[in-house]
Amino acid sequence: MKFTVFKYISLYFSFFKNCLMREMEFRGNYILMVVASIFLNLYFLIYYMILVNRLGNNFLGWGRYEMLFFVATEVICHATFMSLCFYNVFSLPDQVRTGNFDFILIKPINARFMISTRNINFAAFTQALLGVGLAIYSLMQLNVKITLLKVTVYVAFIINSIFLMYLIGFCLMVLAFFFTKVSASGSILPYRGFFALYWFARRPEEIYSNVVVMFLTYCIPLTLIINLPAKWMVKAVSVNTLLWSLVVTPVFFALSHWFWKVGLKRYQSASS
Amino acid sequence: MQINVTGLTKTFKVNKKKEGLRGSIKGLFAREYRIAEAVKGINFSIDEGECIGFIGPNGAGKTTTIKMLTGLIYPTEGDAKILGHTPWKRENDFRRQISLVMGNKFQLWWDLPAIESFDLQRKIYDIERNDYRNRLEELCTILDVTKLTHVPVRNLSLGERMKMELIASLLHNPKILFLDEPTIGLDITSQKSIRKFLKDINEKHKTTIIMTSHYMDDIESVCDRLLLISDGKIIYDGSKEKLANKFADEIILNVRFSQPIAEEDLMKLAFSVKFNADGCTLKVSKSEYLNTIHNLLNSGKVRDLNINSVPLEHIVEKCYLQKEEIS
Amino acid sequence: MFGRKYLGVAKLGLQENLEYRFNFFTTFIFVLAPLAVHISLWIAVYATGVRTIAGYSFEMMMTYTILGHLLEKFTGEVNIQIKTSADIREGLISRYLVKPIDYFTSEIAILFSNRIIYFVTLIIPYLLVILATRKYFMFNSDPILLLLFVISIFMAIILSFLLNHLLGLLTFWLKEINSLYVFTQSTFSFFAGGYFTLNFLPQGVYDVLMYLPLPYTLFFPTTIYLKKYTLSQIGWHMLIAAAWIVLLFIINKIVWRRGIRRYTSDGI
Repeated sequence: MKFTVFKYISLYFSFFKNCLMREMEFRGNYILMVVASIFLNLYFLIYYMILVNRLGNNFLGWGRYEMLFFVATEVICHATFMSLCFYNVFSLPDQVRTGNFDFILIKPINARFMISTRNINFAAFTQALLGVGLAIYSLMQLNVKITLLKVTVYVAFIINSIFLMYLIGFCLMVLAFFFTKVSASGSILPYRGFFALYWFARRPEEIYSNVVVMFLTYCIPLTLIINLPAKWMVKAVSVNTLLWSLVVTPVFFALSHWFWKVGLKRYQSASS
Repeated sequence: MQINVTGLTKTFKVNKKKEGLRGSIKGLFAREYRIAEAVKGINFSIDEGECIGFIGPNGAGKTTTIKMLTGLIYPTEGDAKILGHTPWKRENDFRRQISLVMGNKFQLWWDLPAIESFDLQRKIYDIERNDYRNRLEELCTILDVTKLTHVPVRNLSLGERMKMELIASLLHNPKILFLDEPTIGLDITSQKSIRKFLKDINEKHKTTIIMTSHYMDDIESVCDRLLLISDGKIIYDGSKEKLANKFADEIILNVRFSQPIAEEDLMKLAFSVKFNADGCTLKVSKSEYLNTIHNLLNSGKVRDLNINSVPLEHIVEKCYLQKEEIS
Repeated sequence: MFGRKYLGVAKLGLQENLEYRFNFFTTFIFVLAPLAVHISLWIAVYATGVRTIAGYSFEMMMTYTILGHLLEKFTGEVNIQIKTSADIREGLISRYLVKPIDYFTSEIAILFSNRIIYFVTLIIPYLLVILATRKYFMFNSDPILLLLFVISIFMAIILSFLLNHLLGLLTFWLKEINSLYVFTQSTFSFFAGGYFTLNFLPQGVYDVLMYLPLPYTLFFPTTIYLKKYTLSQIGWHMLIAAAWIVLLFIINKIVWRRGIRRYTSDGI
């Protein structure tokens, strides 16, 4: 009898392998997705670069290359989220609707794990590489002192950010349990909700008033997603925010798990 | 007793929608509900190795009951003990011993060959490698799909896909196999091979089989015992033969005559006479039919004679209309 | 009678929309999020003391942002691309091929009935936003301009529909087009002026862009409202928009015919 941890790692590897094989089956689609996602990032990049340009290279305290690094961080987080979490996190409403979720419930495996990790999208990884490239380029232009500690903490923040994005998306998706009779467009709802919130996260927090920034840091931790890692690297981060970031993720996870249990119970008593 | 169900009940709230546009707008603000009772306090028990046919009209509560037995939904009232577990607690020990197959719903990965899904099953159910290999070989051989395991599932025909589904669900040698309309939409050959397959594994491995189906042939070939559920209640629990004997006190004779025979004469021999293009159909009671046949043959006008008992289908159809229990 | 069946379709489309009330109620919450972000951005930027950016004062920028957002939601309809694509992929078009009803016309009927719903759903949150920002929102009372504004919105709805429908029709040849809708919508938004006013773009790019259909779905109506055009300019641009409507209509019909031929012969 293997240890549970090894079992789940082995399962994850199976999912990884299966998704890779599946994606390699459709090379045309893969290339299309890569191209499309590169363009998407390009719009975002152009938007900010033009904005910064029009404002005389000073966008509320962000210079051109600082802004570029911000965008790079955004691309890295967004792309990694898309590849590891996106197709999982918003699949629940569809699975519930088609009855596929029953197949997951009946297996002797933690249902949350399966729902959260089953799909991995490789086209989005390429995007992440683009982000890394942009990040390196902007750092070079900025003459920022890059130490191993800085980079390690930056990477840790990125992992934290992706986990936060997963948790937000996951909680939205659990709502599917409560609205079992949702239409096809209803399954877009958690997705829309997520991106509505994410809109707030992918801007420099200077555009918000102090009150709003507080709210977006301590209530719905959106500023921790992009602003925190970016500022850590090219600007400055307050100690409070740093400490808070250590606390918020595990607490949020616990809350999300409770919510999941409640939702699951609802599914089990209300479905036919 | 492997499975013991007592007083299992399930009720739902269903939205009532009013007609037309005005109804829709009203529906935005206040919804009316009605209570639907899907399953009304059913009791039964099943022993290891039985083959149960779970039949009933659409909406009778079959799928709801199966979902409760597999732990997918909670009952409103009542209890069930399967293999010593309560299904809806979804304990891993319980889930490792059961399996569910649903007609028209597939759990195999669509774009990959079935073998990859099988391998995933191996990991999920902690099947030991040797057991897995032996089992896979055994199942593939019986179902004659060994050559197809490396074909992407989307390229298989419906029948082949169903066979792969069955293999995937049996790799871990479950004690109980639940099937919800497994042969729906399949061609005759596939249906037959699946029925034979189910009977085989039941005999070989003592796998308990609980199956719902609307195809009477499924029930007749595979199941020994019937659970007839109608309007949320079990109205019959027993063997096929007993049900047949209960309801079918009739034998059906299809006769073709070489010379015309008077209707009044036929009416003396049978309680129901129907003429059709081929000859005529007589319904005779079981106690009388030998006598009737004797008389018909003696008349010398019989060219062709066919003896049939009432098909299970007709019996079940009659039962569907009943609401009380058939003892 | 001709009109009745399309009216019936429109009515059902409306009912379908209302049926999912959670969807209905939360749509406008999620619609306000990007708007809130953009407004915050401009308030913060202009608070640093800058007076005009690319010829836009603070009031103009706010009005552009709010009005632009509203128009984008009102005229643009992502669902058309998704819906048309899904209809084709799942073979639902077959329904229309066997009945004496035309897909294109019924889609337009549904389009306009949905506009009414959208207008009702969207007008409340946007009115609230305008109320909250009424110090900065520019209220236009010129009747001629307002009339031209309404006409341009009407053209914007049709243009947006034709473009999205065309993209959806590409599903006849390219099944993957469905997964690209985020990309297409971002492209549309960018070049229509949804990210920022097109005046931000370099002059050369701007000039070329004004000959293409996209700016007429958002930028053009909004700029009319902001009184930035002379009447002759409006007339000229409306001509371009009208020409695009005709052209896209023809292209849609041709693509539909070709697509249906492929659909019925290959049985996708």
